[in-house]
Parts: sequence; structure tokens; C-alpha cells
Amino acid sequence: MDWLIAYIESVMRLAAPLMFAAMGGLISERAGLANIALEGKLLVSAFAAAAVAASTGSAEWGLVAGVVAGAMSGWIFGASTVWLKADHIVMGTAFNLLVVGVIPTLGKAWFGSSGSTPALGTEARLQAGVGFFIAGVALVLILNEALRRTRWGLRVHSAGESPNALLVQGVSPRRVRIGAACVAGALAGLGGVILSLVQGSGYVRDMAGGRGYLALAAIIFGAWKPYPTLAACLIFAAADSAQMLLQGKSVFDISVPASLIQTLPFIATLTILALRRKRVSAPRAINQPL
Amino acid sequence: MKLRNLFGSWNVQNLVKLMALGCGLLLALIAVLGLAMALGEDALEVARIIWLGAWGSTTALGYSLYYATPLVFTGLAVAWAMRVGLFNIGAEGQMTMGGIAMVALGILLPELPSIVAWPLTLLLGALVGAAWAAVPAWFKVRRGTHEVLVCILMNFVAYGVGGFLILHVFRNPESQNPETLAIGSGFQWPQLAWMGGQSPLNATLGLAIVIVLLLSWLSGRTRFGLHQRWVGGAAEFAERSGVSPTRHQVLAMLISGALAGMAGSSILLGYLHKAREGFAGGAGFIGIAVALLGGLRPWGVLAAAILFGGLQKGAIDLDLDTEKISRDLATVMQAMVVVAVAALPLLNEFWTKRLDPSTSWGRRLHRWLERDHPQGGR
Amino acid sequence: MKPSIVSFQNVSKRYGSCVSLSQVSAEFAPGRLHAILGENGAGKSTLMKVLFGLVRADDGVVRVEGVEREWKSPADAIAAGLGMVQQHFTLVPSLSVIDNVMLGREGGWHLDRAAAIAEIEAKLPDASLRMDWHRRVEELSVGEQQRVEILKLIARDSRIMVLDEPTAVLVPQEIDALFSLLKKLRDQGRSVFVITHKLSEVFQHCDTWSVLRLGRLVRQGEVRDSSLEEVVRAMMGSEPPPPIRLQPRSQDRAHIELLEIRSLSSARGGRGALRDVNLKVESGEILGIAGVDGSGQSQLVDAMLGLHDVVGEILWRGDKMLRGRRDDWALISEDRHRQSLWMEESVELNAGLGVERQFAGGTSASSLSVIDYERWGSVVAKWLADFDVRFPHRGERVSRLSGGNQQKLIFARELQGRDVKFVLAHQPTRGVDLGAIHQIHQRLVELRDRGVGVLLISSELDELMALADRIVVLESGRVAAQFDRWAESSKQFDRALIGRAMIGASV
Repeated sequence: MDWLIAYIESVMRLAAPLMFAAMGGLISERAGLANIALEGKLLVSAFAAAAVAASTGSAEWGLVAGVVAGAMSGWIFGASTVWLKADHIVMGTAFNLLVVGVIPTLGKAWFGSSGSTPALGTEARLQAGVGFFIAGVALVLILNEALRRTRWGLRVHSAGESPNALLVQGVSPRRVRIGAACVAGALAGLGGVILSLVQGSGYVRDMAGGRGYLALAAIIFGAWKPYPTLAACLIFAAADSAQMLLQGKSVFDISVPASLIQTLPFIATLTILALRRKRVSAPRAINQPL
Repeated sequence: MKLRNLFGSWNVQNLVKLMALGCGLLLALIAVLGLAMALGEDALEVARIIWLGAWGSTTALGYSLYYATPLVFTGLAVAWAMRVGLFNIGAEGQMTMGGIAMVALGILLPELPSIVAWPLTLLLGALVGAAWAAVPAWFKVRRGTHEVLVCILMNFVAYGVGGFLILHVFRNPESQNPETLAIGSGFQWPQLAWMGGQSPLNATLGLAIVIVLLLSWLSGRTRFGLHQRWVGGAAEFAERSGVSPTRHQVLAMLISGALAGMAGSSILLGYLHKAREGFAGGAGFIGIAVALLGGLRPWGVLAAAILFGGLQKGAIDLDLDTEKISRDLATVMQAMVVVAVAALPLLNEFWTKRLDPSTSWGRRLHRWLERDHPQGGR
Repeated sequence: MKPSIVSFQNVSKRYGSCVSLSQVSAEFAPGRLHAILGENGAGKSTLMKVLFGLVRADDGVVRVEGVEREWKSPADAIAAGLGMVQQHFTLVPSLSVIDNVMLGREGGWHLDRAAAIAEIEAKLPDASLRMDWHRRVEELSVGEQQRVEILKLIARDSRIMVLDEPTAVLVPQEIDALFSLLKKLRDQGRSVFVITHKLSEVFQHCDTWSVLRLGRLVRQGEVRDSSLEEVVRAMMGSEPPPPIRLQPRSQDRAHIELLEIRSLSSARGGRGALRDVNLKVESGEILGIAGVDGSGQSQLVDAMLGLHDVVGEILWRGDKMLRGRRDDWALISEDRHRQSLWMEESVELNAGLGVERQFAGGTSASSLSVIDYERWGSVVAKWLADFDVRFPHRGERVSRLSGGNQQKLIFARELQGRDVKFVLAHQPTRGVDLGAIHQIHQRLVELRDRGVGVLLISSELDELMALADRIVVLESGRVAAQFDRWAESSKQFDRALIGRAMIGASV
């Protein structure tokens, strides 16, 4: 049974960054901001956290830097999209591309290596075990209540469904959207911090490895609701853990190549999306300019 | 070639778009040079290196065109789908799979003469690319899942499956590098040394131009092309006139995938003559920027691809000639171009106001443009 | 005389080259029901949006209760006691009634729905306005949704209320109920502005009228001192056209049955799902379909086009139809911006889309046939001229044309580009100015007299009563009643009876 416990623990670890990214994405999508930029936000905050932790030697400062970088990139993405009246998906693509270019450029300037930050010692990493997973579950509970019972939730929902209803009440839907983008960025930032300071020891090139997109898939699978999205995150994390477990092992005496196994979470995601026959509708005003 | 065919109908709206695009590109350039200055380099020097690196010699030009060739294909792929209202962000995966299929054919049947091998490889690459694109098309039509998400997931699957094929199935055991065996000589496309000097520029550039011509005719002249664009511009109207959006969206995705599937030909068939892991090198994503900058029109895509090829070559020189700047600056530039194009609605608004017939400039411009007014929508 | 509650002085507003308001000056007395009249695009809505702070005037002064005001946003206007119901409701469909009422004045970060319900119930002028506060707005009828909008104003203690085209979507009985509510609100001392183009309501219910034309305020008056002709002349700026008189159907020609629908039901339920619909359209007649919006009209049209899953049969000249729309049908869709036009494209392209086969080799045209755009241009130019479509140049974007001109372009394409046997017209005059409405009505009657069958779906009862030979009333997806203009019996057109059928009361 030891392997089962190890497996469950691994699922919980791998689920944590996915959950934070997905909840961030969920908030911004509910506010009407299509958020394909999640991947980029994960990368930015993972890099920022690792860079600051490496420079200061302090994991806490790394954490703060990651969250702040996430929130700031959320603000940049939200504000530029809203104010430029740009298509959210085109803008998100641009953001992700920008991140892919800017991080190595900064990395080369600061650390002389365009790929990664220096490896962190234990004191500059966060030792949290499954703590972040528990925090993530708590976040889902709180978010679910906040969306239903607070002024903030009401306004976020309205900005995503019918921004005009806010406008004629004198509430700026643009501000609601940008605010949601900041919160989304901060949460995705936490996800990035987990990647580079908890699971990894420093930043390595492309370390998000598609988790931002998996988080997006989880939101769609979860019909833009917190609990089903959480469930989807757990399923994807389970596939991811299975992938890690299978690597380097042979199944029925056939060794399965690593590159094929790595596709497991993605194939699992596609399969689940294909099996879901009921069409779920996105927030009505998603990707509509204001 | 009349000017108006390059930019569609030649009227004020298109002029506005052009002005807006100009502004956007200028801002992008300023942003990138600003970044270079922030890193402690001389902006003028950076600009000079990029310029000379891209176009300074025959070999430099050849490299720029060589880098441009796959971008023409992926740019056309993204542009075609986008005109029909679909965002094919999966060109990278389609290019990977199509490319490996082309190389696999060249490894398995090395004896084929060029006259058979060339069309056969292209056909196979196109088919495999289209098959990879059929998955997001199916999800879009049958499940209502946004094509962007499925395309991205398919990209990751393509990395894995492609890596497996290259490293395990077709691997060259004698090579230290993660690469396949070589393709037969009949499959190789000739180099264009007269045009590109020492560069790997090859005849697939001609193929790219032929495809640009073909798509331009298809889109601008035929009923099919009109219907495709109609579905992209006004799906409900098209549907009510008996033109099925579903059918056209699936077809558009397949065409897009086929174009992306052939995108590896320049690298694989014209230069390497084998496949390496990660040969696509992001061309599928840069294709998005190329398509947007090219105004989603075939000739515009060709021009944008050449510009981007030059940027890529220039950025490589920058990597070698400066201390702090890496070739990743090319990616930053491309991203800024996408931002500039994404900001077009706002810039459009600005120029529309400026060039409105109620202003004196607008009045003069309108009078000049409307002397002989061509038909719109081509 | 009491001082004005609202006054405009030389208010102007331009959108690009388009003048929306020009030097409008007007005074409005408190505690009255004011009608703001004018054609589409006359500037009525813009003027009221300036008052409410949704649009900022370029020039001029707005005074509310004697104080000069310049709102930064609608929030300021709401705080000063103004409220506006937009023509397109600004509700959040997926939220409950009370959430919609609370939105924008939630009173703290935590939503106290019980307190909000108690508060609004205390403010209601009478108990009949009470609603099921927890129902979701998307489940309500259009009339109820409008009530939610008015409740929002009551909750905010608005002293000045503006309603933009509130009756456009209502049946006669609902209109009466709305005005009696508005009068109640007026009698409480509030000032109410109603933007409308329906003169009958003005003369029945309102106190004053003000007419805007082409952005200028042309006349104002007291309803009780005015005549209908005077107001019409002010609105149109010319003598009104003579009303259309439908001649009895000619008996020279045999009338053949074109379209028959037999026990048609939607495959899936839901709002507006069809339930066992039977109807027939003969050549040379106009069959009118009356009904509240959302009673199944869109589903009926979509079913005929093959875009809506149904059980039952649709027959064309006795043969079962296999695939959607036929080439000899003209289609005037309800939402012309989305369903009949490609808004970013040119006038010229739009005038030929869907009938472009004839520019690509005719009936033998395949997908890959090359389109002869030169011929396209010259042929559609003639069509557009025949239908009096006005546009600055043929490359102009169709989105920049007025509603009337857009609709005339659609008529030109649909009627000239085909050999038309049947016309399917869904709300053909919605959002169209009076001059164009008249031309469209004439066109439909001409078609009928030529032997074409017309299915005319409209929520304007006046339009159907003027044009239709027969009227079928749809209510909740079923045929609730049928009327015949030429019948001798009790089945003749009767406004009150049709209105009752529209809201599901027994006839």
C-alpha cells in the first residue's frame, strides 16, 4: 500500500499549482476575460520567485515576488486587453509569446544564463508538503461562497454575463474586469511559486509545461464552476502523477518511452472533453470588448 | 498586379487599417529598442546589427528567406483558418507531425525518383497535418469546445508522439544527436545558391510562392473562397443563405492543417534531409504573428513572413555580436507585433476619426480615393 | 407655472460626421408624463442618454431641478434621482430578480438579500407589483423583465424616470398595464419620460409631446390641445403618405397552395418551442403571424430554413421539403445585422451575397467557379437603384447605412436576385424609418397582388392589421387563434380579440 499513499501524495502535490492557476483563470473568465495567458503568468511568477529567492536567499521574499509578479502581469494583461479593445485570445497569445522571449532575455542579463536561474539551496525553497494543496482546497471553498454571496461575486458575474447592466448602474465593467484579472494573476502567481520554489529548485526553461492550458481545460470541463473545476484539476493531476510513476518503469516487460508517457495528461484531458457530451456554455460576454 | 488586390478593396477603411498598423509597428519597435537600452545596449547599434544581419549580404538575405519559408506556410495556415473565424494555434503540432511523416516516407522508400517523391511527400505531409487539425475541428463542431484549447493540447501530444518517432522509430543509431536517418536523394529539394549564397535557402521557397498564388486565387476569385470568408465574417447570414458554417469551418481547419503539415519541407527536405527533435522551433506560433501582420491575406502573409525571417536572422547576429542580448529578442519583437495588431481596433478608431469626411484631410482623401471605386471584399 | 424639472439648452452631439443632436433646447414640467417622439435616428435616445449621463454632449447645458449638471457617469445621475430603462434591457439574465435589483447598490460587501427584499417591498406603490424575487430573470416573460427594470428605478428612489421604447415588445394589454403603472408613479410626484414612435399611446396616456427630427427639436405641445395630424407632420416633416388599402384578392387567377405546415413541433422543449403548428400559405395572399416576441416565431422560421430540429411536415406545393431554404424564397430575417448582412463588407458585396451563383456561370456553377465581379458590380447597381437604396459609394461598409437603407438593400437582393415565389418576412420594418416602412409595405402588397405568397411575422399588430389577408396568432409555440379579413363571420380582424389571444387568454 505504500505506493498508493505515495501516489495520492504525489497527486496532491501536482494538483496544487493546477488548482491555483485554474481558480485564477476561473475568476477572470467569469468576469468575461478569456484567459489563455495563464501559461505565461505561471512562467512569469515562477521566474520572478526563483530570481528573487536566488538573489536574497529567502524563500519568503521569493513567494512575495512571485505573487506580486503574477498580479502585475494580470494587471498588464487585463488592462491592455480592456483598454486596447483587443481580442482576448490574440492578446493572450501575444502575452505568452512575450513571456517566452522576455524571461530568457532577462535571465541572460541577470544570471548570464538564458535558460534558467541558479539552483536554489534548501533555505531558499519552500518546504510545504501538501500544505499548498490544503490551501488550494480552502480557496475553492471560499471562492465558491464569494461568487454567490458577495458584492464582488455579483459584479464579477455581471461583468461576464451582461456588462451593460453594470454600466448603467454607474459601475465600470472595465474596472471589474481588470480587478478580476489582477486577482487571477495573483492566484496564478501562487501556482508559479509552487512550481519553482516547492516542486522545483529554481526556474528552468518552460517549466510550466502546459499546466496553464490544462488549468484552462479544467475550467471548461468544470463549466466555469469552482467545484467541478477542482474535480477536473484532480483528474489531470492523477494522470500527471501516473505519468511520473510510469516513467522509467516497464509495464508487462515493455518499457514505454518517456516521450509517449508525457502525453498522458493531455490525452486524458482530450478524452474527458470528448466524453462530455453536454455542451456547456461560457459566460455570455466572454471575449467581448467593452 | 494592381495595388488594390494586395490590400483587398482599396478604400478609406483599408487605408485606416494600414495607418493603424504602421503606428502599431512603430510602437512595437520603440518598445523592443527600449528593452535593449534598458539592458545596457546602444539602441542604434542594435538596430544596425539587425538590419545588416537580415539583408546585408547575399548570404544574409538567403538566411532570412530560408527562415521565412516555413513561416509562409504556417502564416498561411493560421490566416486561412482565421478568415473563416477559427484560431488555429495548433500549427506547431500539425507541422511537427506532417514533417515527420514526410521524412518517414523518405526513409522508408529512399529509391523513389524526385518526380514521384516530391508530390508524394507533400501530399502525405498535408494529409497528416490535416488529420492532426481534424481533431480540434471535430471538437469544435461536435462538442462546442473552443478550438484554441484543443489545438494546444494537440500540440503537446504532437511533441510527445513526434519525439517518440524521432528517438525510437526512425532514429539514426550512429548519430550523437536526437535525429533520424537520412531521406533518399530523390526526396531532397535543390539549394538556391545563386540567390542565397552560403545559406541553406532552397527551392521550397518557390513552392511557398506557388501556394500563395493558389490561395490568393482561391480566396479572391472563386465561390468557395467567398463562402469561406463569408462564414468567417457573418456565419449566421451565410447559414441562412444555404452556406453551412459547420462544413466550411471543418474544411477551413483541414486546409489550415494541410498547409501547416507541409511547413517543415524547407527545413527537412531542403536542408537537413532528416528530422531533428523540435525542428519546428516555434514556427507554428510565429505563424500567428505573421498571419495577423499580413492582414490575413496571402500576399500580406508572404511579406510579413519575409520580414519575420529577417528579424530572426538579425536576432541571431545580435546574440553573437552583443553581450547581453540573446536571440530570444526576436520572440519579444514578434510578440510586440501581435500586440500592435491586437490593438488595431483602438488605432482604427483613432484614424477613422482623423480621416472622417468631416475633417478637411478626410474630405480631400475621400475625394481622391473615390474617383474610381473598385468593388469591395476581395 | 412650476419651474422645469429638466431643461436642455443648445445641447449638441456629433458622432464623427453624423450629427445626432443639434442645438436642442427644451423645458419639461415636473410631475407629468412626457412623450418624446421621433423617427429612428431622430436623436430621441441620444437626448435621453445625455440626460442620464450615458452620453456626454459636445455642447450645451442640461439642468435638472434647476441645477446645471454634467455627469461623470450614470452613477452621478442615479444619485441625483434619475433612472433610465434602456430599450434593450440591461438585466443579467442568469441572476435572480432581487440580485438584479441590488446590482450597483448592494449596501456592503456581503449581499443581504432578505433586507433588500424587505426594502423594495416597502417602496412599492401597490402590492400587485410584488414578484417572485428569487426567480431567474431569464425565466421571466418580456413584460415581467420590464417590470424588473422599473423596480430597479423604484428601489433607487428615482424622481425622474426615462423609458426608451418601452412598448415595442409588449402586447396591447401589457401596454395598458404599463401606462397605468407609469401614471401611478407620476401621481406620486415623479416625472416620467417615454420615448416612443407609437402615436396612439401618446394620445391615450401621455400629458405632453416633444418631437425630434434629424437631431433637432421641432415642436412641443400639450396632448389635449393637439391633433394627431399635427404630430405626424412634425415627425415626418412632410405630409404623411396615404394609408395602404388592401384590395380583395383577385379571382382571375387560381390560388395554389404554396406552403403547408402540418403538425409541426420542436424536437426539444424550452421557451418558444413549437407545439403542433398547422398553417397554409396560398399564392397571392399575405399570412400574418401575430404574437409576443419569443412565442415561437424564430423557431418557425428556423424550422422552415432547416435550422431547427422538428417533428412534423413542411410541404412545398404538396411535396415534402428535404433540405432547408429554396432558391425561389425571399428571406427577410428578424435580426438583419446578424442574419441578413455582412456588416464589415461593402454595399456592393452585400447586395449580391447568396445569389452570387448567377455571377459564376449560373446554374452549373460549382464551388471552384470563378466569380465575375465586374458583372456582379454592374448588376447589383441596377437592383439597388430600382429599390431606391441610398449610399455614398458602392464600396461603403454596409454597417454605415441607415436601418431603412439596409432593409431596402436586403429587399433588393432577395427580390431581384431570385425568381421569387414566396416571401418569408420576419419583422421587416423593425428599426426602420416611416418613409422606408411605407415603401416596404407597398412592396409586400405588390408581391401579393402579383401572386407571390407572403408569410409576414410581426409583433406590431397595426402592421398585420393593415397588410394581412389572414392572421394566425402564435402563443407559447402553438396556434392560439386564426382570423380572416375577408370572412363574414366573427373571425374578422378584431384588435382586442387578437390581443387576448396573444397573451394566452381564451378567445
